[in-house]
Amino acid sequence: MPSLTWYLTLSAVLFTTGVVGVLTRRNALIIFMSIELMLNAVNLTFIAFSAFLGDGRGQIVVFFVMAVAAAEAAVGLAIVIALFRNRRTVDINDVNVLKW
Amino acid sequence: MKRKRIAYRPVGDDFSPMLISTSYDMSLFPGHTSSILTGTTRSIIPPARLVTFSTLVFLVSSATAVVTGILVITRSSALHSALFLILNFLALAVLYLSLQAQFIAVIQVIVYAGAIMVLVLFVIMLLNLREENHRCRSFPRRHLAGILLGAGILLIFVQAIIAASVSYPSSLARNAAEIGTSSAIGDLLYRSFVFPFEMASILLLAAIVGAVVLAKKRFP
Repeated sequence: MPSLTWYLTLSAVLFTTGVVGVLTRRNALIIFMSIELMLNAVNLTFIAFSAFLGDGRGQIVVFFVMAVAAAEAAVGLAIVIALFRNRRTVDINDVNVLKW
Repeated sequence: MKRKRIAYRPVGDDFSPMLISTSYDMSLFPGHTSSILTGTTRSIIPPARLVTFSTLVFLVSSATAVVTGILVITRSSALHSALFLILNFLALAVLYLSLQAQFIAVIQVIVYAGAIMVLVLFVIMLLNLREENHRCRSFPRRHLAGILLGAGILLIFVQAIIAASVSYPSSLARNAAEIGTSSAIGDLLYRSFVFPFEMASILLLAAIVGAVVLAKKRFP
């Protein structure tokens, strides 16, 4: 049986993959997917602790994270569509009105 | 005729390692409730091999998750990224199952790999994007900075995990198979967490309205 450390390390690797994706990619859709990757890494941590500590509340938190992720997907993709409609691009380097 | 050569291998006693190992894993927890799998299997393989089977499941699914995760952030086409992300979610669902979280594993497949990723794929195909990075250098400086920052974050994570690992429980909890069922989750959700549950429904309603308003054809 894999120990808790293995699951946590895997989760850390997946989270870091998402962080690197957000930092390196400029496509808004791929940044969006990297955020989903990070959310899933955190979910894995919650599930692992829930199963190893025998507490079901961790899985409830994962349930709410999934609800928030669904809401985030709907709103985020609507923003991407509105952005593409106004600017004809999803490259976030072209969206720099707020850049100082 | 070659058709007669096709012989179907019967699913014999030595041909179903997965079911057998499930019965072994369940037998670790005396309080488990699911007897469907354990009733139909017999343990004929010594336990030492079965422990490596669950480790094998972890290794295969975690390698799939890491590789597809890296592919998600390295493919230039957003469509390929989305397809690899679906694979990543499926690998994570297998990991949830290996942690006895059956309800969350099913939700992961239905909500994440099903609903959310279908929405993402729909948007990608709606926008019909060209490949990005055609005007950039081959290896921009932000890639180096991002990878260095990511390595630093990973280092901090792993150091923290190892530093705290002395206090971790060494095996799955005794009631791990029970807390992952939909009845246990529903019991917690509608008893202790009913207010956050209602808040989540309001949040989803607000997200629906916001998405419709944002993606409307014209802004007033």
